[in-house]
Amino acid sequence: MFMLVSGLYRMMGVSSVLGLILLTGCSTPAPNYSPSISNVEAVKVVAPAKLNVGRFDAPASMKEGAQSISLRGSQMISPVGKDYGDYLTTALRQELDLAGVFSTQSQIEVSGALVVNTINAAGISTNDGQIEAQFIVKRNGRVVYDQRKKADMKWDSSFAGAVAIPLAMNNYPVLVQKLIGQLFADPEFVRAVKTI
Amino acid sequence: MKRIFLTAASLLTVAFLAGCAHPINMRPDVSLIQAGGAQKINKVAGYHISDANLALEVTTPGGGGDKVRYFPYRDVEAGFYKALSETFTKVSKIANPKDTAALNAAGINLLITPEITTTSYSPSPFTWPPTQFTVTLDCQVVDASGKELTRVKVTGTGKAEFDEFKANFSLSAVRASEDALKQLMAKLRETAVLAR
Repeated sequence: MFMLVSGLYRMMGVSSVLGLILLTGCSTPAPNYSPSISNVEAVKVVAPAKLNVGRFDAPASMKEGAQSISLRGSQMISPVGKDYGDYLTTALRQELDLAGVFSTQSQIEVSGALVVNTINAAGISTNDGQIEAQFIVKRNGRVVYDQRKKADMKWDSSFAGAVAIPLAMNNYPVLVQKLIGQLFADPEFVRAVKTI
Repeated sequence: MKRIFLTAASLLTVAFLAGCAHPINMRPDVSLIQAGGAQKINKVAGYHISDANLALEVTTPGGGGDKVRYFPYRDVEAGFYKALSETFTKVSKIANPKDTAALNAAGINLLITPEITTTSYSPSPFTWPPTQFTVTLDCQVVDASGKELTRVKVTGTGKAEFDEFKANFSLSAVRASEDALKQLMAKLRETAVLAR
């Protein structure tokens, strides 16, 4: 009996240690962005005009979070494009597309740049993330909206990296959803994208 | 004495590492949920997922005696919305399915309530991410008066081997979600009572 229990523990230990090894010291893509239905339903109401999405830059001047986000030594990279500017571009496009208000032909274009993009996964009981971006709306090439929006969130975490790292990764798309939600909730943005 | 101490320390470490449920996600890539331009059913479809279900986290088996945990309704919702949008001419999220005044105001013809169940499995004694995953969507469809028209049930499967999931521990779950949602679109179209 002791041998059986000991063998089982050994197997579980190997599995967990392998999991830890898998999670640390390498580049792992962030989860796919998944639109927030609250955002989609909101933008359907506020943006009757079709919108285009331009590029969001992730300037090299950012201290971190342009190319990758460090999670306890593991590097989380964008699963789309070359940096997290492309992740935000794709996220906004998906939100508008699902709401049926995205068009590459539209003369109203939303673009901008990431300013802050960090996740702290080092905590042993809670962790948090912050994101901030500059959003610019151009109508026929003329800037009609230029503001920064930010979002942050906190979640319960764990001492174990095998739990803390995937939790941090899974919360990143939710953080981006919150950022886009801030944009759609801004009355000035609503005015900027409404059909004249 | 030293041997007893080492054994105890090893068992404690293993128990600590092996006792956790690893967070994964099952968010599909919504850009892959497409009906390929097939004609939509000319109905306004509403769907309802309760707040309790959106907050529901489930735990199922992984490999090596470990477990995985995830949020089925929260993760699948955007893909579900996209699948309905590809099938019906208009889709709305319904907060309260018993609010007939709101249903009538939104012009809802069909109200769909999904129930999501999942299974996961890995034969590996050494790695925890599931290699096999299933997602079952069991959808009750009622008309505007609340009369049940039909139930549509599909089961999607997802598989991922070590070489694939080492960069994405959620891969089999993501694939199962995508498969289930693609099947759902096809089955909804085949269900004649929904087009009447």
